[in-house]
Amino acid sequence: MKLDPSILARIQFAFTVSFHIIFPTMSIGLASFLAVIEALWLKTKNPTYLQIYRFWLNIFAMGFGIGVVTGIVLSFEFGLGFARFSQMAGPAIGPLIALEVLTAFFLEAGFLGIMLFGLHRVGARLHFFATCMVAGGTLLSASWILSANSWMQTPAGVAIQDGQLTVVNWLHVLMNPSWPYRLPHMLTAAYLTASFMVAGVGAWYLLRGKHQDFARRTVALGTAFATVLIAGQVFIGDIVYGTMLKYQPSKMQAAEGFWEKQSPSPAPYYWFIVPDQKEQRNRFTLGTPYLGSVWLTHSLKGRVEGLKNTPRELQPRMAMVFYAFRIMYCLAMLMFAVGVASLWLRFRGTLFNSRWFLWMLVFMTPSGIIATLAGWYVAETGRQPWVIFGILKTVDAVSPVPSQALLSTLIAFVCVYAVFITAFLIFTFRIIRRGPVDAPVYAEASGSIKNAFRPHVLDNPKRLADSQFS
Amino acid sequence: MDLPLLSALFLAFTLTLYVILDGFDLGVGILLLIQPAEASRDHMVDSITPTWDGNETWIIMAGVTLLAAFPIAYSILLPAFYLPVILMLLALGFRGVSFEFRVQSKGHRRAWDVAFGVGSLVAALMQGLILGGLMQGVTVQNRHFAGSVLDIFRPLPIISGITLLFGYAVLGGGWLKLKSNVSLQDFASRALHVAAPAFAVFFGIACIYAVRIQPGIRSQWASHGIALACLVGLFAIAAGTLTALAGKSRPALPFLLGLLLFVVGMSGIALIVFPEIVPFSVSLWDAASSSTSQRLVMIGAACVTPVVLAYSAFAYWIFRGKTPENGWEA
Amino acid sequence: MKTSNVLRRVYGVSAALLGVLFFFIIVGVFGLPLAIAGLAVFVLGAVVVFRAFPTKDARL
Repeated sequence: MKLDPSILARIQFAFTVSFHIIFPTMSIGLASFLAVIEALWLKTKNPTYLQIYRFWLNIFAMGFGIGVVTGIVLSFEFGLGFARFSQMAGPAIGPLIALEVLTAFFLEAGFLGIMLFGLHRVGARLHFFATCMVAGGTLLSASWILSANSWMQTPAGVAIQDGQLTVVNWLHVLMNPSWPYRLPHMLTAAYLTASFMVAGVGAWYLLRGKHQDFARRTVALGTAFATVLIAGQVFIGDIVYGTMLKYQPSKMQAAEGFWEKQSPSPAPYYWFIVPDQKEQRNRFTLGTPYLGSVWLTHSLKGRVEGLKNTPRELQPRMAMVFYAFRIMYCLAMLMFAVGVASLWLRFRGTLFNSRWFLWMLVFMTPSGIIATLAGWYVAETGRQPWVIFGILKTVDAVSPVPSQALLSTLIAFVCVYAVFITAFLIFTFRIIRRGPVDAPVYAEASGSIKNAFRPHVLDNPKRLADSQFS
Repeated sequence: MDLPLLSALFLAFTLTLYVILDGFDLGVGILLLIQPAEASRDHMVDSITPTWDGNETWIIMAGVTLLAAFPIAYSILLPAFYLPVILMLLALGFRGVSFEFRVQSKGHRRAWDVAFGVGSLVAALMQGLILGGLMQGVTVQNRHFAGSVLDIFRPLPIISGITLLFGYAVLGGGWLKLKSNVSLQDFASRALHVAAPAFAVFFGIACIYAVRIQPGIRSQWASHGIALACLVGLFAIAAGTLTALAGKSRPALPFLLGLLLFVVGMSGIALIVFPEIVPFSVSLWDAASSSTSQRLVMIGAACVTPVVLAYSAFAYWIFRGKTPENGWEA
Repeated sequence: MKTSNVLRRVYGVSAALLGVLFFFIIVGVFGLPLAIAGLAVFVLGAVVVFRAFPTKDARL
């Protein structure tokens, strides 16, 4: 069976990057959540906060580890599958990713050990500092890599000469037109992911009537953050939409499901379509009248531009972009509804005992992950056929590697990653079933920086416990 | 001293740091496979748990520096070493997730330990394979890789793989002598007794074989014969000392000797490879990106690396001394 | 506060409709300045609710 290497290379990269993005999304969100929880613990000394910290630290640690190893794959996969892309884009995105490694990866890695294992070796303040450094590292990491990806979407600051790129202005490369909006969009997505994960698990416990203190705290915190964040997210989302409409019109044309150069007026908002890319039309559509004009042109009668505005050979595949966008957007609306409902229930005083709402939260636990994945599919499939928009096409970017090698390694990745995620899910569900455990008494503000200088104290638990009461 | 040369020095620096730091991590992982007692295995993993992530990050730094400063070399070498790189990445993946998964899994800890050990072993083998493939030379045409992905499975790369495997075992054994408690000292010494001479022997075979099959290496020996001979001699002395003193020395000595072995080895490789970056077809300057890119990498590296080294050292210091008997959590 | 079932339903539906309105405003249907204002009002309103109607385990 002869499979096209460029298709296989794309599938392989799509698989590894989709799998990978799940974990940093969780890590960015959970790291900041853990920092907030630890701050609250230090301030109020309420043991429930330490419980929450230790519970989510376990899950965070597993997810972070998978994120790291699947991320290393990507930094080499540019070259493995897309050598021609690397040769061309290396001068522009290479330094950005190098700075990501220098300023973010090392920061996270350097302080992660203290965060995970140093609760008994360093004082509470240094430990909190470590948590903050890890959270800050995830934020920096997102900034750099979003800049690199945004540069691929809206390239700037480079000059092309015989197929070689030279950077002429680094500020333009870094702060390319779409980065300032895509970065907050991704960060908010990560924080939303963590908020719904935390609230969902809390809701599960409330439904079962277990771990009341833990559950109430986490549902309260999770829904509070989620409510504020989703409002910001739909705001930024609309701005990102406008930006991409300007710089990558083909993507948004594909996202809305219209083919004709000018849609009818008023334009409906399509929820379901059966597109036929070959015949450049929809076989079937299901939409809400007027809503397309309202949402997409901010008027009652405006016309939406369809995909035929883009030459055929430069069109992305409508089905992928459309449905990815719908999934993301519908989840956003659902999140917004949950946020509004949570405000209403607080007003009525029944946030913790509305069973329908708690079930809603449980159902929404993975919503952030799915929405983020869907959003990334919009971003990446919508950019096709370009890998660097307007500069390099994906088919021209692949490595001189035979299909058999690509196929066999793709299968290897799928098998290995299947093991990773299965183990992650089994262990996470086990942690959830077990529930939060009471923290041992000498974890509370154990020792101080001066104890870190006295190893004979640290290695002897009894002396450590004694040292706090002296 | 121009930009490509500076970038190459930084690249060599990151690679050396990676090999040394993750070298002992992978070495401990390899030794895990021959340790039958679970409690001892726990102790071995505990000794590398707090700092492994930072150590592994240096390989990403190396890869990304290559992409940023020498994109042409990156785009030739990665397809050339496609299969071993992917196998290495999968192996490192198993090793990485096993840290957390083995703790979570009380019943299947042994299985995760095997995953940890095999992952470490395969990663070491693949890294050696890649090194050997580099020495063997890759087929380049028009600044693109033009050979077969199977070229790497030839004698020199395979011998190099085994060499690096024993080399990492030496580093791992040295680290254990330094960090582990009394019960593992004997185990570490016995491991060193086997690994150190094996490392030296295979290193020697690799050197001889490399000279035989790659004319580029022959000519380097011709021009730098004395320096290279000294390095080989130093290597032999260090390996011999390590083997002799493994059982009865102060805790730090085997590890330091292991480090010396690697520094000597890396220096020799650097002498042979320079001024090419894709031996023996593409020079540093041919593969380099434009100066604007090199400059940004260098500025970033110069400003940030000292900070990274500082807090990395701090992390090592926090977890200094012997690894606690019952691990890091109470 | 004891209200009859019908009144509670009315309040609930009104809250939902208010939520929909805020959604439309924030996604920019009525222009950017109003979207920013709408976002600010929504977030401030949420914070007011958090403080004025604390959950039974207090503090947020």
